Amino acid sequence: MSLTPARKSFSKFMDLPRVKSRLARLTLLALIVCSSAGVASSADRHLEARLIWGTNDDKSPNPSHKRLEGDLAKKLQELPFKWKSYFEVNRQTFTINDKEYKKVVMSDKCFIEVKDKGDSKVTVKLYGQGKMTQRVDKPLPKDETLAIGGDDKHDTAWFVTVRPVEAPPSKPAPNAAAKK
Amino acid sequence: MKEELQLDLQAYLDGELSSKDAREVAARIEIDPEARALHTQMQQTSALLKGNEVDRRLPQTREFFWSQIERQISREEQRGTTSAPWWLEFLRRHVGAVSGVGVAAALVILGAVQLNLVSSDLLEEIDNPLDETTSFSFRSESQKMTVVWIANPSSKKAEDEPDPGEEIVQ
Repeated sequence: MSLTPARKSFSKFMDLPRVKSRLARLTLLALIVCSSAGVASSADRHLEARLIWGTNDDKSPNPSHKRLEGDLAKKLQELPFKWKSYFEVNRQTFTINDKEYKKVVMSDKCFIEVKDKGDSKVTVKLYGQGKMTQRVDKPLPKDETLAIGGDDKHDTAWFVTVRPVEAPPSKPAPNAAAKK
Repeated sequence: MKEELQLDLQAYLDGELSSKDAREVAARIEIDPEARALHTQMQQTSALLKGNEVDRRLPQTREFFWSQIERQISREEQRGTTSAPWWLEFLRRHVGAVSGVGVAAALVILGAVQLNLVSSDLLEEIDNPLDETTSFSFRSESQKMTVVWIANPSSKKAEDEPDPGEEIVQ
């Protein structure tokens, strides 16, 4: 069977040494793209964690607790929970990266560890009394909120919420502030 | 008869007869004047042809032609020994179809995730390491909130017993 020009060019294209060199070049290009994407995604992420107490009472017995306000209060009210009031026990803002877990203390007996897993995914480990009680791996893009909760005494509840926030404004340099 | 004699004499001159037949032909040449004359004529003709053949020479030597043939043979042998692995042969035959299907599938998945057609719940993993508790999760799409609820069955037994909630909030 004679080779048409199209067949000849295709035969040249599928020549084994050329295929190998093309595959090597494509692999190298893919590695460069992935590594640059990895570099881009390894930047620190800013998150906020809150320890919240839910109750049907109008006031909290602890005077240091503040009534929860803002969009987070609205979200919890819209959810089908039975509690009428939510109080903020603690709030922490922190940054995470993909290298190590960030420990965030929420109360005397409770802390969380958070790590960036890339592609907007995070891992949140909840510890109570030094024991890990829950681990959650999930995507946490902007406007998304993760809440881990459970029952508390006297028909109340506790929540630990984690969500992304904007980076805090950078503080001016001490020299610039002194000159002014 | 004469034709048969010519063939015998020709074979005798070329040395193609067996020893027995050669002796018979040689004896015939001795006694038969016709055979002797024919034999002499054939000898002279053969000598004339050998001595007066024009020497024709090719511009390339025979070694040149043989080296070309040898090179082609070795090239064919190498192609046979270094045959591509099976997966590369498969790719060669189906590279167009496989790459097209792969790109289409990747685009569909990416689009589904980007347009939130695929719930992010499918991408989450929840691990409950404590045996005495169970957990379940639910997601509110409207509030963009995922709630992981830790249920401790033993907390319903007695309020005096500590539960994970007390450990965490206090």
